[in-house]
Amino acid sequence: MQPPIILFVATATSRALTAEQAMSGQLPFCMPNTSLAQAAKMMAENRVHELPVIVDQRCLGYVSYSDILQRYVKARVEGQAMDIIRTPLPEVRPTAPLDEVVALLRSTGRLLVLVTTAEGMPLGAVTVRDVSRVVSG
Amino acid sequence: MPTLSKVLRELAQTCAPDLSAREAVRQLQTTGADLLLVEQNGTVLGVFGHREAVAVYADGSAPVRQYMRHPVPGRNAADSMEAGAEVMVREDTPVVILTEEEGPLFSKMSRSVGMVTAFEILEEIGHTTTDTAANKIFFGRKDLGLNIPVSPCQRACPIHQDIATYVDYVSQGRYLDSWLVIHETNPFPSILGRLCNHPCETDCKRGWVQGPENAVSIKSLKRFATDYAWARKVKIEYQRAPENGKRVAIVGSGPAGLTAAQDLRLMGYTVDLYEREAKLGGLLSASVPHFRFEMDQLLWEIQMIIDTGVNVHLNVNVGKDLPLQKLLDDYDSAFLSVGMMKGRILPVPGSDLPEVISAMEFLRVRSYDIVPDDFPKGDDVVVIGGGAVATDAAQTSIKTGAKNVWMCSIEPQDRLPAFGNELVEAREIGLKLHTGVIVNAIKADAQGHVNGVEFIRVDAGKLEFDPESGKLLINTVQKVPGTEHVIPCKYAIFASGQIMDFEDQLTPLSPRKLIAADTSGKTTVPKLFAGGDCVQGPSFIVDAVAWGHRVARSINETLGAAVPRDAKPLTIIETTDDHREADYYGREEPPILPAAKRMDMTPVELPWNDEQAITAALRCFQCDTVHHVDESVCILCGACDDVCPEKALDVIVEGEERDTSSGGFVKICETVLGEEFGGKRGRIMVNYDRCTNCRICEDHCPVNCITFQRVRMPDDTMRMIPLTAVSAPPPQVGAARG
Repeated sequence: MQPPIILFVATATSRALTAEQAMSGQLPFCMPNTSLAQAAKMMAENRVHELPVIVDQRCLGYVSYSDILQRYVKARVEGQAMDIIRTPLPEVRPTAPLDEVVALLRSTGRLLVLVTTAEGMPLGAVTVRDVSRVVSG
Repeated sequence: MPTLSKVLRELAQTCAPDLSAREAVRQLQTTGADLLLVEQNGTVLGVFGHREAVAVYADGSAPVRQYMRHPVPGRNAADSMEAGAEVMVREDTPVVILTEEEGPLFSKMSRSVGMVTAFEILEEIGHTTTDTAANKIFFGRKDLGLNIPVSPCQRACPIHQDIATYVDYVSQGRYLDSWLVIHETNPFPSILGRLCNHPCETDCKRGWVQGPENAVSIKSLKRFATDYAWARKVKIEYQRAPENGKRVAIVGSGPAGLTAAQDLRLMGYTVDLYEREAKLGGLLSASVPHFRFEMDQLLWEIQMIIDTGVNVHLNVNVGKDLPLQKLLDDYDSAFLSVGMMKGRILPVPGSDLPEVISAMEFLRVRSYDIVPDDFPKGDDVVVIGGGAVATDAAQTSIKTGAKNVWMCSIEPQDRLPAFGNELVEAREIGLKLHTGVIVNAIKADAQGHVNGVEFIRVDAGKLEFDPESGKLLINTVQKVPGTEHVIPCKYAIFASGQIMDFEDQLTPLSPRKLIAADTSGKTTVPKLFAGGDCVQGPSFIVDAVAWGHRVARSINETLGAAVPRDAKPLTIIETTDDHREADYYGREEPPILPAAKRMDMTPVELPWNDEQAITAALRCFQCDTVHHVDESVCILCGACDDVCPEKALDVIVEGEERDTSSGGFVKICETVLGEEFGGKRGRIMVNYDRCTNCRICEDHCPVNCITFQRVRMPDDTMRMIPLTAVSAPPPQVGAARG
């Protein structure tokens, strides 16, 4: 048994992945009028720190856990996602190589990259968890 | 103020700082953890999570120490939750180590007792903050133990469309989402949005409350969402199961055949579709006149089905050009969905004259934009029959240039089988009705050309109708002798029923001369299935679509070749707005062109604008959403029971006498109260036949434990993509035609 070779093969295969192949099977998201309380609950349930804000097949941006915590600290958590929406959320096409997705994650500091059609319709997202899964082989 | 100790959890798994980063990522995956604490000699040096895996992807050869976030902030477990949140934001680290002090007053020591991540605080925020937002949505594979209800409209729909959801999405302005929900079970929303007999509206809870004439305009909302998607130039791309190597032949490309073709393709079957006409669509494209729908939209929907990889064979008449036996030999299964495409001409004297035609044939020829050779433009036409096909033939005759068109039927005017607004529309453009008569003969002039139709009156007092279907019982028709009379005309169209136009000696026939098959489409011939009108008799388009779904499932069960998808179905849980204000709105129908502009084959029904559609959608009670009661919070106080205007709720507490008259049998809460409430046991029952989702219980709950939630499992094999490569600004939907 030669673990290094197996590791190399796995890595090589992983590198050949596209965004579509790497993206999660499900895409947790909220809408602009989702309450921050609900968004917080969703983040906790889905174990994500950033939530895309999507309405009618279009992504408007994302909400970040740190913004919700900040509002909580200031006792102003009774708002809606549209109040703290950040923009833009980086996007790639489904055929984009995973290398490009990872480069985007690193350069933007985001925890997910949205996978969309050329028209901007969301198809899914590659999250840091997905990258982690690929890295683990 | 809650303290961090309230949400404290055990310390996460640890790893050594010198561990290979790639190995640490693997540890994260195998344990399913959110993060690892990097520990050395009992001291937490940093934290390593999935975010760090992004850096590892580029170069994972270094040890964890190089990638970890550090330091990890600490807080006393007795500090407030806000203090914990504040330090997470400030340090940009979603975890805090919690400590407790121990030892004598002047020599206290701190020891780690656990940790808190951002997720615990977020969960607490979600749990304790009053939620006043209108619409909320959850998306994930969560099982909250809700009853998944089926609304009355969905129950009544032959293809069980998720009506309340797509109507709700229109009310939220999510038109494309709405269209996708429709397509989960309905491949022809453009047609069914205009021509469906809408049994859903017959069983709409809004109609229960405000009268059947005030049901939600479900059909028109479907049309609105479809118009919007069409205007946005999008289509659906389906995710197919792997090819399974089995082949199915489908004969007939009507709604049943096309639906089955799509379903089977998505299951991985190779599908060959045989159609004797020169175009696909069967009755949809060959019988329904073009002024009733948008042909371009139908072609768009058919193309989406064909794009799943269906092999199309046009102009092939199975049974004549190609024996059925050949299909059974060459394929693993064959599905006959040949419909009832031949019109019946009653065998009265003169029915063989050249200017006598069946309505089905007349409409078929006109569907190719051809006018039959003998059609008398500028002269009179008599249509014999009183149903939807007769109305279509009559209107088409008027629009083709006939001078006077008579529709003559046995049934009296108030019992005509034509339904909906069609008859009113036809009369507005000049249709003349002649009811209570039966055809006696077709009269001809000396040259053998039609010059009139002779009728005889029937005894209206003796006519009886089937109480369920409302159809005339033909054996109760009695002619009144001496009442013979002739309506002059140059052309006679028989709309007096349809018969199957398919012959093959292999086909098993029922006593009604239809194909004999059970409700799943199985026939007595091995490998042969049949469904739709050719089994059931003439019915509605939506019934044919239901046959298509059913037979596809049946074929798959028989062949057993479809490979189940790996992914579990997604479950969407969403809470919705209350629509009480919609009581002020009445039902509206889409407008139609004025009669003067309805004299050609231009589609007559005009689209709704956004305001009209949203107003109509807001009238939906959203019967598919149910109470979700947080049992850990409910104190069984009975406030919801007291305020319910429909008396749909019972709060039942053991040892207490309370009113239990709702008749509810759906348990939405079962709890045991804490000691401070006497440790009582109780439950809440709901009668969803009474509940109108008014949300008054939600408003009046003193502990805020009730929300209304919808649980649905969407079809996640669908993906919306642009129809064309060229991106154009979307036309304004709902703009009136010029």
